Amino acid sequence: MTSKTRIRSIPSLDVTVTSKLIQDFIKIRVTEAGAEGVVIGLSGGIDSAVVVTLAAKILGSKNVIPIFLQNINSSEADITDIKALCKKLKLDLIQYNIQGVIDQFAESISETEDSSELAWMNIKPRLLQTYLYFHANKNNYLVCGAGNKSEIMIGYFTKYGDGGVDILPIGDVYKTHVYQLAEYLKLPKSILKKAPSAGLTKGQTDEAEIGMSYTELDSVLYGLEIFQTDEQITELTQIPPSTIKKVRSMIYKSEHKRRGPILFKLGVRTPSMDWRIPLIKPKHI
Amino acid sequence: MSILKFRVALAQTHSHQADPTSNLQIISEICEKIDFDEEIPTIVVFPELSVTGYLMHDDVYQLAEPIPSGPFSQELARISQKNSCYLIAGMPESSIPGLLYNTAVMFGPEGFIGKSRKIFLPNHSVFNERRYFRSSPTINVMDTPMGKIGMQICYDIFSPEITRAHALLGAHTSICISASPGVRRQYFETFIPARAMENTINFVYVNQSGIQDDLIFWGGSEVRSATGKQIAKLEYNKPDFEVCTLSTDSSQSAKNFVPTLKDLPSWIFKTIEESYYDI
Repeated sequence: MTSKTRIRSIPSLDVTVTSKLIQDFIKIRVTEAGAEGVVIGLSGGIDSAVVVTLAAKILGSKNVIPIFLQNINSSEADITDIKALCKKLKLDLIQYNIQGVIDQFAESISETEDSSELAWMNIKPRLLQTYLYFHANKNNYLVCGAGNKSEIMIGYFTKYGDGGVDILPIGDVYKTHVYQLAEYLKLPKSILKKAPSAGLTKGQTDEAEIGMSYTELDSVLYGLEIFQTDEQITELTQIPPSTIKKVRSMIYKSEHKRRGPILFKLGVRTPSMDWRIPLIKPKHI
Repeated sequence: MSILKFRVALAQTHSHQADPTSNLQIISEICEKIDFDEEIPTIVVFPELSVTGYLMHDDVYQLAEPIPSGPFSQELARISQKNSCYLIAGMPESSIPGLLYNTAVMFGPEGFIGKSRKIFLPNHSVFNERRYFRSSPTINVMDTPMGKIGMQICYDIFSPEITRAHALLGAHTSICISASPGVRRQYFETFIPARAMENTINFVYVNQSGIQDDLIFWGGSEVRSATGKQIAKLEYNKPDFEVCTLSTDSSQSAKNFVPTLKDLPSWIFKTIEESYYDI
């Protein structure tokens, strides 16, 4: 896809209504869980910036713990943006340099860190989960994730890393719409204009790694979501069939990441399948 | 000359999920095993949704097709013709856009024989069929060179009325294709001989085997004669295959011995219908 090709964007989000719904969701989940607030891992990117902003708005800055894990691949720009955002939201940032932990882990298994290898790339998100849950348990908080619908649908996250959280307030919001929310929330331009990156390796960008822009990805995902055929998507968006095929393939390959651990049915009612109860314990129990 | 005997090949397959290409290949390979016999035709019976796999989830919207004009139907017709056999398989049917059925189809060397749509769509326990399918508003039997044969699908067997209707419509054999997970085995293994005996009709049951997502299909396909005698029984939990022979007139002799249909008074149906609206 050349930069000159015009891709039809997905329909705009009603940002006023959606930001209110997301805040209500965060508040209700925290209250019903009997928790005091949320712990959020900040990356310096737009997703966690949107989520932490909405959480701080609805819960108050005292009930939100932002955590940043610094390592050898972290960029100065990210650190600067995170500090500025936390200052603006009156949040007390907790920052750890985890490079020592990673080095110790490497030593314990007699290996050298290779940040280009998947097994090593997943270390930071899984360490992040450990840090987030430590603080969540200490404070009776929930762990709030920042995964968006685009990433989730193609499996662009670490299983039991950044995907291992209690709530995902923007889990059904496409990246295109996250930008719209960010503008509505008046997030700093430095965050808005930054190329999206998982921050797992130096200079990594999401779009280079995924192999297409988020505009393309979201146009395909949206088409598939509303049951359009590949031909209809190509006709409406000018996105070539090969790109649609690639997205479809990513969706199928990552389905295991979107489900809980896979078990199989043996009994009359089976956990996570058909033994269904309310998320929250009713008062009469 | 009327056909007095026919063979039933129980093709207890493990279907690939949302992969009709692989499944049609399996169906083709199994049909190629069948020895053609001019006097004793063979019906190869595959499980419920054997063309697409049972757990397609939302992919069913892409995989359902008009029957018999759709490409998968045409491939089934080609397989039947090439191997000079009859075959019954399960597949999602698209009637008009957005209206789907869980359907059993029958093809023969002469082409499309008929289809029956599932009536009882389970939406309890692990099942989600009413999310996708419409319940058939009718019960039918098919006119075949082997006489009248009824088809039903899986949970239909839990309702005795379906097989009874097959018998009353003149079928000598009722064929149930199924995708039943293991926890229901005891029910099916009780219903199969019961449906045969209470209606004095041959009863053929063919189940999926193996794992699809988080369900394990128990296999255990079997055939019962019109007197309830077990004619064939396949392995549990894994693909299996067996051919047995049935008579088109065994139903008649069984009816002479136990005349349940002759003794069936019509007022019973009226009572059932009236009480249905009272509950």
